[in-house]
Amino acid sequence: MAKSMDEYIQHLRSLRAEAYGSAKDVETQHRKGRLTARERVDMLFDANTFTEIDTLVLPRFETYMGGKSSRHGDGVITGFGLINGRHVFVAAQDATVMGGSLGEMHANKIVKAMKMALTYGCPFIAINDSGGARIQEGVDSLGGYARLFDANCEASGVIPQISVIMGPCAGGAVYSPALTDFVFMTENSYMFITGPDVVKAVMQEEVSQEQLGGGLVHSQESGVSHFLAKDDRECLALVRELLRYIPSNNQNDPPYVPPLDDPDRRCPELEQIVPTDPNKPYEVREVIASIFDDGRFFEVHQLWAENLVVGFARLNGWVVGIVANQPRVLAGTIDIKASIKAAHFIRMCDAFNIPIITLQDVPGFLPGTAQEYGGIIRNGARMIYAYSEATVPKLMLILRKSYGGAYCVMSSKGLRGDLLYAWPNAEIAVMGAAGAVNILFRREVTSAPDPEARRLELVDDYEQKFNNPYVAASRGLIDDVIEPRDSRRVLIAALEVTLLKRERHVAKKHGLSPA
Amino acid sequence: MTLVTVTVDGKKFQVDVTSSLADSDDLSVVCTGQLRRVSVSSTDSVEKIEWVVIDGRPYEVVVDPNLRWIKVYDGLHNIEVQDRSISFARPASGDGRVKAPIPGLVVRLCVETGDEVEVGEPLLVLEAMKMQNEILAPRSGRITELNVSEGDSVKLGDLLVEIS
Amino acid sequence: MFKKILIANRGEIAVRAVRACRDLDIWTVALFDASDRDSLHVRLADECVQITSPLGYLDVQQIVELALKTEADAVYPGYGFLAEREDFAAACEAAGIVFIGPPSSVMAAFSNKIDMLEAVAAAGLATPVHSSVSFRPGEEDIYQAEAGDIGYPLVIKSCNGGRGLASRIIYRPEDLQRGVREAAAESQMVFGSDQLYFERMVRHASFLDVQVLGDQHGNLVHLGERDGSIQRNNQKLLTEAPAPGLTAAQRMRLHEMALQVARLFNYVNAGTVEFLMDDAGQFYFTEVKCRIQVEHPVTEMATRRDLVREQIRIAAGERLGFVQEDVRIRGAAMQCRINAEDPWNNFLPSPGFLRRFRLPGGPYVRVDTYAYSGCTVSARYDPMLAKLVVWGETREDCIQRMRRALQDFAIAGIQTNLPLFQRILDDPRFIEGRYDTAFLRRTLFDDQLQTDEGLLQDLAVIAALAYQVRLQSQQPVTPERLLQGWHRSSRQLPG
Repeated sequence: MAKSMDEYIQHLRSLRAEAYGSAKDVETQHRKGRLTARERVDMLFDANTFTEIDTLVLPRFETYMGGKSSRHGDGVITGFGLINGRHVFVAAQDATVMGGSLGEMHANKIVKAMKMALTYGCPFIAINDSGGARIQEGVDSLGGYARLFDANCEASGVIPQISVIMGPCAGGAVYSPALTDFVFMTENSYMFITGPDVVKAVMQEEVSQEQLGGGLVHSQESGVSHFLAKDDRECLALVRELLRYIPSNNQNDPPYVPPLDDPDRRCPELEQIVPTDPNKPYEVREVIASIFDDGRFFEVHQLWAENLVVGFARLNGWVVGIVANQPRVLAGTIDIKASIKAAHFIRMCDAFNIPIITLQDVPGFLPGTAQEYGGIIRNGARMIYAYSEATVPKLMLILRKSYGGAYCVMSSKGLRGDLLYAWPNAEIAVMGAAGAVNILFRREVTSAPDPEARRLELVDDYEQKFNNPYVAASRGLIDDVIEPRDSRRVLIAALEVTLLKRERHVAKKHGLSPA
Repeated sequence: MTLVTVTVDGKKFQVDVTSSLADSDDLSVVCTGQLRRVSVSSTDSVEKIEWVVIDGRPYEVVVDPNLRWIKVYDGLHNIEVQDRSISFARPASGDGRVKAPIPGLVVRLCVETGDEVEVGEPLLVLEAMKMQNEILAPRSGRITELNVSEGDSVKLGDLLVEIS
Repeated sequence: MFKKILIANRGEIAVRAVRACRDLDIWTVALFDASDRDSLHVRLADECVQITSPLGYLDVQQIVELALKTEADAVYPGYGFLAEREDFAAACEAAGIVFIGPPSSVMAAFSNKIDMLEAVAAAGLATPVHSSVSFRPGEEDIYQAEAGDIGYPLVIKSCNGGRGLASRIIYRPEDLQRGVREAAAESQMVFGSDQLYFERMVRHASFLDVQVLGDQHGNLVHLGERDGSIQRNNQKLLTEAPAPGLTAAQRMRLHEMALQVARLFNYVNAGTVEFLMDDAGQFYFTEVKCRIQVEHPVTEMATRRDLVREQIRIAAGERLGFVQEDVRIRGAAMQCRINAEDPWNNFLPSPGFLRRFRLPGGPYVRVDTYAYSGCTVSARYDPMLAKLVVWGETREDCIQRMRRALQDFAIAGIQTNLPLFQRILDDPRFIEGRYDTAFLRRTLFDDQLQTDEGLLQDLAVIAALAYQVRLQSQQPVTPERLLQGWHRSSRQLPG
């Protein structure tokens, strides 16, 4: 006798139920201070918008181990839903199902969701919480990783890829996040190539998981993580916030929202924030808060390479990427980390049609053997490459110092900067006055009757002749010198005219960015 | 999640809006460590917030779209909302531009370009609704721009004076 | 009785007049100007006609013409605009239309304030020290001399004025010239004359009005007094009846004086005799308002008489339907004048769209207004939005009911002085009935509200929520420019 529809439905429901972890598993996860994959997905998407796919996928290992599959879904939840009203694909590893270990079908599910995201032009978010490769599946599991990496590379620069690390992520698994555009970590998560046990065995080095690859370490030391969150909840809120600034794909524009802030607002406070004495530090984030809409700044890589600040803000409603020197840290010099940080951010902005605004106050590159041995030459070049390669609008405002090579590499006219401005106190020159006089007039100073007086005289002379924005303005190397209070007004005008910029590269397979 | 510091009539409170507004009818808000259950008439816009029920206590409210005051049953309360994720507050006195708060007729100018003014000093007199209204300086400084003269009609939001 | 009355006014009082006419089964004609097409009084009236003159509601000639054209047999002037214009009353009379108010001959007696004060003083009543001659702003030597005689602080007044308009209190001689100039300009604008005079300011005064009614047959009654001491810019913000600070003997004396003044001028129709009382309890006659007043509902509530109806009946030649002994003041009544203005921002007027306007209700609560949810408060006219009037068996009941009504009154979209009244009604000096003309200036902003912590916390929650709503209401849109071909082609990728 044929089964009734009701029986069919009951059967389907029982299969689905297997995809959910048991109450005990959920509790274990909660005890670790983590949410389950389902809770995370629910929290990530707008209410009731998540649609799951591949719920009924079964693991492959029953064929090897002869055992019966206990769980549908194979330890990862994939699907799509809305975030702030826009479609996004997700793959969330489920630590309550086989430890979230990556088997062949698990990898297939993630790759399938990624290909869909790529086909439909939606951002892709991977939530990582996995014990690593599923040993029972052997090379099939490793092959899965490789296909995953390949899919990451294929999608790179086409759709935004976001990795969210909310548990363990070790071994080969770390390279998928590393290939994506943004990595979020919670304080309760870790990433490393080799775990503490192996480190101890090979290097005789005692180190805890947190010390080796905790969220804080990767946010402060390695720069692998772009965002650090206290817990899962805060982390997912940050992800949602990030998506307010980036478009769904490389053909779309970032989301414009009608502004609440006044486009004509003057910024008189800037005159107090930035000291005219070139040796006095200040907080460049205050400058950003003053100029950009509602003082809001969504900072990327907040804890890493703090001598350079990057992040998103809005200017009259338009999303912009900000690259700003931070005089409060290392006097705002550029070092290896800062170059890498800037280069990655600029390339990401360029890929996703986000105009770049550079706020410059830079005395030069950080000197020293550590920097030279570390390859500041090659790494500094990445920043040049990124600025030159970018075809999005490139605006710049020189707040104070702009010296030497650092002038060249940061959005200068030579790198096809679109509209560049300087404040009247700006110092645009090959080097500061004291250094320049020492080189140019060493003999003249030492032979003078009063060397110190002569030196000061020459310094003064140099400052008047070269160390101002007017030489650059007279050559057209900057487009205007503006009053600080007008910064917002002028940048808005500049941004709105350059928004429709159309620029093409010479046809090539791809460039060869240094490093 | 939105973390803010709210000043109500001079008293400060730390408030965290923990649930996303789209989520449900019942919202969780943590005020000075205490979880409050809140439902609200509408989350579409500030103007549409007509009533709020907090832990069973109903309030009929009018909230200033610029979030400077709230009106409830016992009158008007001054508020100030500071987003804790924005670390730097702008001066409350504004940027020195004085715009027409109502449409009207400039009947008298009390200052000239270049004058030094103190906060609270009258800048000009604007006639509207049959009343002569003094427009006061929001901050101290020098008058750098005077965009109107006596007898001019101004629209709402027209730039009248700029103080730097 | 009249068949049709043209209402030569707008706003709340025009609505009030339409209602009184309806009660008497009289046809009404409303006037409106270009900005007033949407006003409530136009909608409620039986007929309406547009006033096209640039002078608007002040154009005597056009209004008389319109009255003739619409075959109105009477004109109701209300307060403000042409209500106290003797020439308007005369023009109506000449055209054979009844002016609902005192005859122009009576109004003429009040047209010069100085003469009026002299006449009352001659009858043996006290008046404030005032200048003996009027002057214009150009006559500086005259007014400087007068000011010297009177002494400071003094009050500059318009000879033709009223409603506190064109009036200035001057405390120091150096402010005199500017005060005179401004008052004259305002007087010229509002009353069409720049004739001014001075009065010595009565300090710590109470402002007492006695309502009188006289018919054309020689009957004259008073309907008790009102205390209108809580003022701003000479506008009575809060008025109550009976006045809380009077002894029975004082009250009787006050009423007697009012009737004496009315008789002196052979007063007909509704009018108000105004007095100041200094802190020693001495009354000074100041003026007669020969029209209906903004505060008349207070008296109506306390006496249960319809004053506008009486005005119409008297103008139609009917006799007063009652004698003095029939007038009984019962309980206490109070009126708050709700203005579209922001007390916390220098009383800046706040015109605009009324998003929400829900009236308070319940027993003995009355609101006279022209406003409704969704209407626009014009920036061209006076900021008065509504009059909230309540009655109570005792003054305490009345205060409590007013507090409740103020809580009930929901207005959104514009700023109003509602919260100001809530503070006044909680002020202990007000509750005890100890207040004078300086009350508002002294009490308004000197202290923070004593609010319990729980309410403040709840307000903080509401504020945070509103902040969140404000952030999220910023939804992404695609601006027009980004849809253009140039931009689309800039997104095309190589290869």
